[in-house]
This record gives sequence, structure tokens and C-alpha cells, in this order.
Amino acid sequence: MKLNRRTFLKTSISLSAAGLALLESQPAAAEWSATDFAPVAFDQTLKQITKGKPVVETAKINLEIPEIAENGALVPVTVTSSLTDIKTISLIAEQNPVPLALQLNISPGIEPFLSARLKLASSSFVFAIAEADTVCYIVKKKVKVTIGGCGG
Amino acid sequence: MSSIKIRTKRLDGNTQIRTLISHPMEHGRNKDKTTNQLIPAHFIQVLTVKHNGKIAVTCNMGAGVSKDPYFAFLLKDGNPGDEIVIDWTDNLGNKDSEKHTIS
Repeated sequence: MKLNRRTFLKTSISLSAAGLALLESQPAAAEWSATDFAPVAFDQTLKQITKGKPVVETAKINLEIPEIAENGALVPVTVTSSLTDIKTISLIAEQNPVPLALQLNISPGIEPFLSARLKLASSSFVFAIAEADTVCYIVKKKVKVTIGGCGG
Repeated sequence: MSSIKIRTKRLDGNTQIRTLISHPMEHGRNKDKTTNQLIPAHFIQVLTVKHNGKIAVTCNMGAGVSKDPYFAFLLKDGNPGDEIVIDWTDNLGNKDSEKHTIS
């Protein structure tokens, strides 16, 4: 294909327009990021999730998780909150090879409620972190695992 | 057959969406017992729930979520007849989608 200056400009404009349309269609959806889900130490994951915002312990998030999990491959967890200004809820297991388990983006259409099942490699603290505009709320609970969830 | 099962229930003006997805959620550190080779990582990365075409839930996850993941979300309002679409994408690029109508 012969590509002179005029056609090049035209195609680049239409491409950027398509790119913009794509961006506008999903403004709230945060991309899956390999750095957040990297197999790094817990402290680093915590830093990436809180993005330098002050971390406040709160009683307004309710993290329901069994104190003793018989099977680490399947630990039911439920997070509810009475906070209204939170944007994301993240669940982090301190001792897992990849500490961040999942991250839920709260859109205006849903209540801050999440129920899921996690894998826990060994007995550890499980953190629920709710990100608001200026601060990050955090709750933690100790879970004792009698059979590990990683390594079959 | 779709890999996604969806149940919805009306609760005090909200709608609870429960979903069960069949997926191995391998994190890449398990060994295959017969061949003694590592099983490659295979896990869902993004789960989205659309309510009447509008994105309600985006959930990013790693392999720290159990095999055959179960999730429950709570949707504000939601009426009988509304359409719920759930789709997921995994790290190998596989996708699946399922429609459900609130009853």
C-alpha cells in the first residue's frame, strides 16, 4: 500500500478516535495489572494497593472469615461495609506467594458487599482494604489453616 | 454448556447476584502427579457483571481465588425482567459469557 502523508494523517486520526471511543466506553473499569498480582512480598503489595494514602484501621468494614479453616484451598470470605465512599475492595492474604487475591471495583450500581472463596497457603492474616478518596480503610483477621491450599 | 451459573434473589430492595464458575484456577506452582511437570498457570483475571448493559461489577483477581470460584455481589435495586450478563477472561485469553434474567 502506498502510504503518503495525507493517508497517514487520516488513518492516524481515525485510529486515535477509535482509541478514544474505547476509553470512553469503560471509564470505571480498572485494568488487570500484572504488577498488582505479582508474586512479591506482602509489604510491597500493600504499598501498591494503598498508593501512598494513609491507612486507617476501622470497625466499619466487616470481614467474615472462619478463624480455623480446615482446607486452605477453599476459605469462604464475606466483606460488608457501612462506608459509602469507597471505590475498591481488595483482599490480601499475607502469607500467599501472590498476596493479592482479588480486587473489586465498586460502581455506583452496587452495594459494598462481596462474598468469595480464597486459597490460603498457610495460616496467616487476611486483610480487606477499602480504598476511599483520601484514605485506605483496613481490617485484618487471623486465619489458622490446618491443610495448605497451595502445592496440591 | 456454559461455565457460568447465575442465581439472583431480591433482598430488601437490593438484588443479590450469586455466580459459580467452573475453572481450574491453577497458579502455576502445582505439579501434575503423573508427569511430574508443573501445571502452567491458568486463572481468571477479570470478571465483569453487567446490569441492563451497564457495567456494575469489575473484579480483578489472581490465582489466590479458589478453584471453581464462587462470588456474590449485591446490586442496588434491580427489577424483575432486568438482564444480568456475566463474563470472564482468563490469562490464556479464554472468555465466556452468560445471560440471566432477574425473576
